[in-house]
Amino acid sequence: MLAAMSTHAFEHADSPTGATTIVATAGLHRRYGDGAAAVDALAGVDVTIRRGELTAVMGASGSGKSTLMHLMAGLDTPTAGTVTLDGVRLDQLDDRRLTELRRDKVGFVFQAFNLLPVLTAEENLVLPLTIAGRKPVREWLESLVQSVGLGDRRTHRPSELSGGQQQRVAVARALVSKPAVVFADEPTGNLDSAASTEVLELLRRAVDDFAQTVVMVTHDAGAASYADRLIVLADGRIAQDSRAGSTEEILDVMKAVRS
Amino acid sequence: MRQVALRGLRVRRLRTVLTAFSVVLGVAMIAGTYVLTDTVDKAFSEVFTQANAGTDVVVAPKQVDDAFDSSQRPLKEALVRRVRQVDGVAAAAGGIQDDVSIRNVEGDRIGGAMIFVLALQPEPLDPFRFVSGRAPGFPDEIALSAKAFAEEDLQVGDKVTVVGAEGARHFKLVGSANFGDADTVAGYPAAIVTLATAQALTGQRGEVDTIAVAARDGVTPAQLRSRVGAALALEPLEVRTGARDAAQQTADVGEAFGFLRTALLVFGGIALFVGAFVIYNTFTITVAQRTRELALLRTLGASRRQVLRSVILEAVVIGLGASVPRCSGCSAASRSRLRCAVCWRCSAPTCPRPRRSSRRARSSWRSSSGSS
Repeated sequence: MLAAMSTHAFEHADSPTGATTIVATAGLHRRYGDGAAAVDALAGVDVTIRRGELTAVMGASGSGKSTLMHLMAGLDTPTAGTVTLDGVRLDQLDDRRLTELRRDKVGFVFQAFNLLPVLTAEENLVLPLTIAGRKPVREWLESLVQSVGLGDRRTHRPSELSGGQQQRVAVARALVSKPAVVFADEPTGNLDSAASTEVLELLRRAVDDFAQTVVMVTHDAGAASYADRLIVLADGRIAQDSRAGSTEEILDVMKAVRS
Repeated sequence: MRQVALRGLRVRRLRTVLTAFSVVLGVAMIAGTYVLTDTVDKAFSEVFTQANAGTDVVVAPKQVDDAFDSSQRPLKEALVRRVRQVDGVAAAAGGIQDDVSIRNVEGDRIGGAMIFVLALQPEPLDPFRFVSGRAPGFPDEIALSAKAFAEEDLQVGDKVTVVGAEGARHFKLVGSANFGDADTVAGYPAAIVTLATAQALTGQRGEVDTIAVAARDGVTPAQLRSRVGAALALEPLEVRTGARDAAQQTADVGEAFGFLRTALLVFGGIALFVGAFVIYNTFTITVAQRTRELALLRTLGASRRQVLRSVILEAVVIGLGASVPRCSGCSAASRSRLRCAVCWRCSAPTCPRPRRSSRRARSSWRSSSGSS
């Protein structure tokens, strides 16, 4: 039943604009704890992420947005329901295949940057390729370093970079293996507004220039305004799924959802 | 991944050094024990082999296997003449090994509580190489092993008093000698006198402890051993080749040092056991500190095996890095005899500050060489 639903959702997910589905979830359910203490972080979510779009996921704390992202990225397993990423059902993968999928098809940007302190900026940037045992293509690497604005700081350690610079390296790291989709979890949560703008512009350019698909979880309406599409979660369900507008429009949407 | 592990070691230098240090401590004790005892064994082996170089066959009394009396009955001196008559014998001489005490004119003791007294042997049986003065030729002349001679600030011509089994006698110091290449006899000072004097000093007139035999050219030690053995078949004694005798003495000394080796290994084992916990804890903490880092690597697509391998690589680098230089450092030090700077007064003949008297090693040496 669930499998049939997933296939159904996947086949009919093509958007009117011609973008195809890269991630689809069907009846996604995630329960934490059991018995009386059980909490349903997600209570049945059907969502599709379209190729080449920047999708923002918003919602109050505890609305399930981080859980949704972890499930879509294969970092967590759903209690019920399925996730299909780039045509592959994640529940059918063993640990090794799932690891390879994360390595080759998914990029991550975290709130806390999460660069390895012992490696230089450039080594951090190419780390996904290093793990996969591949060499970066020179021109691609150069263009990434250019767009990140790393310049003469490529041999610096993360501790010698500002927060904004570290996060830009982290974004470049997520892009370097040209994954099917990049998941960004509150990428501007630890940054001031100037650094936030740089990181968001970088994500925007990744979508516009490299046709990268990006899913960004955020609290910040200003950050969400960089997105093409806005998904709002409330109590583990989708409350709103629409085009992302200006910051003011998004704030209005959030207000409407809350009331 | 390898890069991450190795870079981690380099960047977190203090942690690496401290972890390595705990490994070093565990390994050093074990390695040091083996190096020390093996070095001692080897040194003794060299000394006995050198000293026995001219001796092809040794005749000694049979070990009495008796719980009440493990001493050996000395050989009659007449046996020496019988050995000389055996075909193939170039030279044979009786030897005396016993303890005496020596005092200088002020009445102070020379060379510790006990000194070996050894009878001078004719060429080629003589294990001594005189470094000053000459060999004693008269009943009132005595020579000392070189180390004791130098340490006690003695001069050729000094007067000394020797206290043996038959009371005190006055002697004139005529020289100092090395035993083989060593300036002590298996770590102990020795007094060298003529055979007759040695017999008189130790109360063994007409008796000897051992008989050293040299073969004529063309006669192998083994041949000579069976000939001497056949000639003395009815006597309660043992005939062995010089090489066997040296090996036997080395083994006896080694046995005497066995307790030291065991004691040190027990401590080393404890050190390693405790060290294992220290190392285990250190790595647990290390990995715990890196949980975030390892989780990140997993998220970025590193397989379980890759992560495990990077942690193991770190452990191997620390383990090898700490224990290999340690072991080779030890053996290099022992080769250059630097080890004596760190060992306490060990009894190795090559040690510049030997322990004076270990009763066990000493009595073992005596029982192998024979004494009354």
